[in-house]
Amino acid sequence: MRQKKYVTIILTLLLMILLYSIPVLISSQYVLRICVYVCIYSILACSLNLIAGVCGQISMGHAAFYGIGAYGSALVCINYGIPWVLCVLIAALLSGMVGMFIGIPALKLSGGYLVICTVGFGELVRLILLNWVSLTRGPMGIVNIPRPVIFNTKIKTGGQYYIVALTLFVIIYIILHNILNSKFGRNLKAIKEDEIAAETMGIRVHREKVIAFAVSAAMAGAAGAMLAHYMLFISPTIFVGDFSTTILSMVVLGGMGSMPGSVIAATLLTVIPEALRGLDKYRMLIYGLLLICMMLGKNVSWESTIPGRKLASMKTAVLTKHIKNRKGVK
Amino acid sequence: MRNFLAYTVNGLVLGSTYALTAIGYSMVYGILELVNFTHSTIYMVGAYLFYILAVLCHIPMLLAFPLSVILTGILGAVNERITIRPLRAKNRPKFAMLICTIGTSIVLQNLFFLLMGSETKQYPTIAENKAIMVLGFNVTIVQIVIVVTTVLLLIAFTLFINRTKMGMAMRACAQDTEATELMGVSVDYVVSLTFFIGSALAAVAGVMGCMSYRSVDCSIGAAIGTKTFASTVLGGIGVFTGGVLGGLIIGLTEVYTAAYIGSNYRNITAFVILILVLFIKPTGLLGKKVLKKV
Amino acid sequence: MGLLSVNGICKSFGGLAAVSDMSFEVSNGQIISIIGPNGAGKTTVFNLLTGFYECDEGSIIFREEEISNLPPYEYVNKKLTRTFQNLKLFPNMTVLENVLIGYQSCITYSRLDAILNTRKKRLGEQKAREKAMEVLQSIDMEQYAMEKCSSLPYGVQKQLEIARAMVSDPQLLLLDEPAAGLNPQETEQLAVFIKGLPAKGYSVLLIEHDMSLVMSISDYIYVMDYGKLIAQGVPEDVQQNEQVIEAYIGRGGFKHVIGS
Repeated sequence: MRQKKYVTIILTLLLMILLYSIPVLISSQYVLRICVYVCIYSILACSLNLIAGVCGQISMGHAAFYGIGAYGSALVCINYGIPWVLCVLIAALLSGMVGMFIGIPALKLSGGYLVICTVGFGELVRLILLNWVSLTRGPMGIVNIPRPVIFNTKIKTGGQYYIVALTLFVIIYIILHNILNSKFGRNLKAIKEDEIAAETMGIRVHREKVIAFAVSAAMAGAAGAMLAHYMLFISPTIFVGDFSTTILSMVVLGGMGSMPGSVIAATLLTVIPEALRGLDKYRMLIYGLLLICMMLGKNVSWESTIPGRKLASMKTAVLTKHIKNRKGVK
Repeated sequence: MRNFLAYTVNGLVLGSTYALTAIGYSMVYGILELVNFTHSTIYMVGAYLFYILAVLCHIPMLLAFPLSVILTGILGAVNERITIRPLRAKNRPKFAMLICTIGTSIVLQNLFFLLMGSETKQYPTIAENKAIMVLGFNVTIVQIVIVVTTVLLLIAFTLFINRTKMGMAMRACAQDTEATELMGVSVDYVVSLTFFIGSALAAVAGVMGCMSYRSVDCSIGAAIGTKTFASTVLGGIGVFTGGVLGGLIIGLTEVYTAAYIGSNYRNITAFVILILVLFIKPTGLLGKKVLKKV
Repeated sequence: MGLLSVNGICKSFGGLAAVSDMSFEVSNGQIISIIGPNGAGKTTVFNLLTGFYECDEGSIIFREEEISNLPPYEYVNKKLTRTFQNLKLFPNMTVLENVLIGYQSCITYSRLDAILNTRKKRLGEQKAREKAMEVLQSIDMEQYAMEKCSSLPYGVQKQLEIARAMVSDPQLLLLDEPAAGLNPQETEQLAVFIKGLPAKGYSVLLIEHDMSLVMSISDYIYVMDYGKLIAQGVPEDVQQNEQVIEAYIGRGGFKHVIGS
């Protein structure tokens, strides 16, 4: 057991070293740009996974929180000249608060109602960004967003941006990892499985959902702040409903509730469209098919395909047979 | 005042198409407790099928219309057969079905996007621009046809639901699927039929809606999705008459908003109404209170 | 003063009285059963006791405190936990996780501790795990700890649900038909298990259809029919009670039984 733990730690360290040395190994600005996007999309997928995958509350308005974070950070930075790190925090706080205000009423709804409500919320945010011209400059978008300055270093090159984005991702991933391995994460899983049983066990279902939703929104906001100061230009067209669907596809493809899965899926769904530029027209079509296939396929989650689990599931197969016989009796 | 009446007529016409589409949402939700995200895309598909048949294949409109309606209905039923029934059979969690319908919706929309191109196309219509004067303002023939067709279809649908054996089976399924199954009704068949009827009605709405706007493009489904769903919820989901009432209210509000507040806001109205209803009276205007099953 | 005393609770659904003027008591260390034909309102009583339905009238006093109409999640803190008629486990979580959820109200670290993975959190988790394993050991289930709970035999799942309720450290356990779906041997084991609960400090309120189980383990029995209390007494008395037999078999049936 202990040995296994050390192996995990060493592997994680190696992975980190590899990830952080990418800018040294690769000089292509194009590849680095994709790497930055992989980081940002991974944050989005993982954060949506917390509320949709782990807790089972499917939200289709995640792009809205991403947008709120991006606009919030950009506007605060331009208007008040606040340092970038603070901007990210403000963006996260802003998105988180909006998430909480939306979440309190919306999370009383379930299933399809919640989805429609979040779709509508996403649309509302997009329309506000588009029509509140005095603040957001409407369809023209916000230009000349300052580059981040960290430790008196102005972030300019693709490699520097990648390091910053990766660090942000690692921080958020660690937070999510810790949440999942705690009482909070366990409660969220229980809520997904059976709300009534969860409530009986003393879990304040609605409050836990709202907090998870707010945390998820805050993380998307942080991703938005990263994007705004990387692109240096944002407009409402980035934060459309289609993008929410894309993020949801990542979560579903990676396996609902599995954080590493979300990262892998986010990477795949960022890299593959780049590799197959000619197929760009078919991108959304493929995402749609992916959603259907993942749901119709045998395993809703990929976790059961991991070898270690496989053994356990083989052991349990015998027992499962036993239950089926029993249910026949019942 | 004359303007107001004209707006009201426009609102009723718009509301009629919402009402017809809302029935499909309502029926599927009533039986499966599923919000069928494919439904709004089906509306678009119906409109396009008519366009393909009438304009590209030069089939006379009177023939093309029922043909496209039936084809869309079949598509809806086939879609259910392929994506919903397997999940239902395996007793998968609700979100699996939900995500599946979202997926199907994306696939259909993008398929038509690829096939038909992204540009807006001129839609064929009946009685080009002919209008008659009623009470001092213009009403186009198309508008009259839309309202009359909707009323006729709604009457037919009500009779079907209340007077026929199949309609009774549907109402029974909405009450309790398992019990209905035990009574010897094939629930699979009822669900297929539900999707067929819902999709066919959506196709009627799609064709007529596009006739009145005289244009069609791939995004009309997405545009109508929230609005019709809002209609359904406003009237009370699972209650057919509620969906119709909701559709008319949403249609009218939307037109009034566009006229008196600003056309930028017309697409937000439905959503704002939806939010208000969900938070004030989630069961809708005509919905019944549902007891939490423990 | 009893542990739980229920005084004249009423609940009706749209004019139909599901429970009317129901009163009963549970004292410390007792096993009390509520029996009655299907639809008599037994489960409704449980739902009223645990806040899933609101009482129209009456009061519920538990540990000298009024506890009616609280939100359902409060009852664990009041030291009252229930199980469900048709299993309500978390099927895709492991057995250990299920028990940990039962224990969650006793885990005290904050969300911030969780996010920062502080020492307090790690210690809290370790303690919770130890406690959960202890409970699993006590019911001979530690070998299943890492299994997904939906993969367990039905009988084991039923037992797990009771274990999950027990770990939240209640004084009163409400068991809703624990023997339903069990075979005779399993029911036997269950009887021994429930009988041992008062010695471990849990009082039990039981709804059950298996009469031999009820009669063998109950200290006192309340009989319900049509939402009303129709009889009460120790098992021997209830067995003899004509009204009870009538409620179960019906007037005609009763005569028929006598006649033959």
